[in-house]
Amino acid sequence: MVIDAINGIVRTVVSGSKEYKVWMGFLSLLALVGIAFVFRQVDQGLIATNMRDDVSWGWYIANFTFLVGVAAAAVVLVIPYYIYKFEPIGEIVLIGEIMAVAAVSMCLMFIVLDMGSPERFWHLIPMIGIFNFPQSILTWDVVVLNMYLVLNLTLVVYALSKTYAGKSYKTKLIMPLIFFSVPAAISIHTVTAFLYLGAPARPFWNTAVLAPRFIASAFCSGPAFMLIIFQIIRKTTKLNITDAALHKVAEIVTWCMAVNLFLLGSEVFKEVYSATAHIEPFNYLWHGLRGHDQLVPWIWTALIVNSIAFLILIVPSIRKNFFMLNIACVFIFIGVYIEKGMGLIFPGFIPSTLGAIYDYMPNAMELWISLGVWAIGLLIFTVGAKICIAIKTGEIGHADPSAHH
Amino acid sequence: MKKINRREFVKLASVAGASTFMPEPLKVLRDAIGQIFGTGQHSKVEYVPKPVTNAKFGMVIDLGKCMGCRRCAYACKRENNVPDTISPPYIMVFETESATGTTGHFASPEMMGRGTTMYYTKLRKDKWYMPVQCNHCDNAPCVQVCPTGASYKDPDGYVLIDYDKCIGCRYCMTACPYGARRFNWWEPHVPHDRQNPLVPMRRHGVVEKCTFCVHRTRRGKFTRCVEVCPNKARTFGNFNDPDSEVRKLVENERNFRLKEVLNTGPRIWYLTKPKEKNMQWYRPLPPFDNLRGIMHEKI
Repeated sequence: MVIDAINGIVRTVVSGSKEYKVWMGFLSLLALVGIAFVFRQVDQGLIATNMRDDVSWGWYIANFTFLVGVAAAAVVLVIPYYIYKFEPIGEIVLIGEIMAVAAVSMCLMFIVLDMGSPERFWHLIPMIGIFNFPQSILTWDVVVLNMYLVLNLTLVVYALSKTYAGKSYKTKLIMPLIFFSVPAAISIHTVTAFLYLGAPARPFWNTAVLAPRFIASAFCSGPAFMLIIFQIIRKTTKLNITDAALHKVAEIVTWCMAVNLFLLGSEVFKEVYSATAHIEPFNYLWHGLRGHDQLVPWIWTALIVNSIAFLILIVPSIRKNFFMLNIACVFIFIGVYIEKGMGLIFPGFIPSTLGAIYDYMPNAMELWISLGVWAIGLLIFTVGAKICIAIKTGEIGHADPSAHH
Repeated sequence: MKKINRREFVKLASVAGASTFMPEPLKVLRDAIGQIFGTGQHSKVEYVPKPVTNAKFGMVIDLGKCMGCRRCAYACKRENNVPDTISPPYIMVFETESATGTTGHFASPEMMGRGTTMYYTKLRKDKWYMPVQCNHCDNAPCVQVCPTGASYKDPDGYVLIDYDKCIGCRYCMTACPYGARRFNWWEPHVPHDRQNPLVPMRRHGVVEKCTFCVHRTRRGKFTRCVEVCPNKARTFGNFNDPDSEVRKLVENERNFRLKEVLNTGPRIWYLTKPKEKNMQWYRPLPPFDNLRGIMHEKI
């Protein structure tokens, strides 16, 4: 039975359509290029990045922040399916959890890449090193991210092995874990927001609205990404993803984008109307400060694409047109990605706490390494999703593809 | 407090030397074994003397006497084995419009940008100069956020870093309101004959900063910046001693602390006395053009 399963899984992963092989080859190539650049970074040190003392966190932490949001977004599927019993989403909820696993893996890779002395990670293991818990919010992030990773891995492996054996996985044993994954998902993004907003030295981040805005934007970007992937999956596999499921997810994205834009407006009002000395990073971001304005085009692009996406989504008849929906999804992905990097992490450091301006932008090496991490994450996701679909559609194992689990 | 004799000095020098030339994998192994069995701590004890009991150290900087010559910053670099290449100094000296402007600008989190600069090359009598370094806060945000406890606060006032525990996450640099922390973005190199054996050479990938010259001050000497200041603008001492000079200055003169609004409890007090009339004006040392981390040297 176990050997059969392993055989089936290996067969599923190595065989596939021509497009599948091209896609996997492309991702592997990107991953290899990224790894080659990682060797260069390890060899030269973090000096090879564009980060310096004034902007001590950059592109890696921006990607980390964005991906925590993508990981948290799995609950956008878990809540309607398990709590509100919205059956159409049952087909895709596992894919969302696999996405969460891939996204958290990418987060951990970005953190390790950003560390100056990654070989000392064991200092973070309680009992062996000193784990400064609960004082340091970073230790909270270590706890919740690893917990979320283990939780989702457990749920996915359990559900797939049950489905493989042809049984239902909604047992009393696993339901508490599923319900627990909802606050866990909220917690990873809340704690990540607290990481930034708890620093009184960085007035740009030191706003209570950051945490709710993180959640709102995460519940736009993650599901937007998934909406596109679900459409690809339903075109290329036998998995039966209904329009109703996709429309429900799109509806959730709509209202989360409304909240995101509302919270942005609150932030803008607070900064502009009170106009204290703390407005400097805000000015640097939105219209330039002392002649430095490299982030300005980025943030306006983000605002414009997010607003267009919202206008597309807010009208149900337009939202239900898949062409328009896909445009909105791509726009949201781009908009929130910019918001997290150029719109949040960089201006938090510019001007520095002593007022100096160092115009940070990632260099080619940072971009290639980030692409490599994304490629590895997408490899994890593609392999996971392919195995999941093969088991759910009964290609391997004993699942009854006509029944909902 | 005891002074260092020659025998001790040689011992310290050999420890520092051995540690510098140890290959990196061995250092990592030594760190790991030391951490697990608690045996690797001996070098730390020698570099960092034990806290002084019943003392609370702090510094007073008289802005009326500071002429912005940057001698403190240069001397500090030498004293603390900070390389001359892209590593910024622990002390940054700012030129500002006025003393009140100083208070106003420097009290806010983005103090520069309104007539304030670090890149001045000529000294002007109508300007004010202000050195900024680690404030050794009583309520230090960097200590609070450090995930491994590498940054710690000692009872006699120092905020210090255990370089063996730092994982290089740089969260402390995000948390510090004074821009006081420096990251070793690459392997720091100081020629062997110029190394101060009393101060450990830091490795690549850890954070460092001003230590209030803990290797000197806990042995009864002043910090290097206090010693080197030509106009005696700086005073270092024990605030628990009611007769100490620092205590009297802070009690009797107008003063402020940097960004006091953040409630970090900084341990550097700035006096805003009128400018000293017959102050000696020296030639300023050139600004650190690599200060803000822009790399001028090719790797």
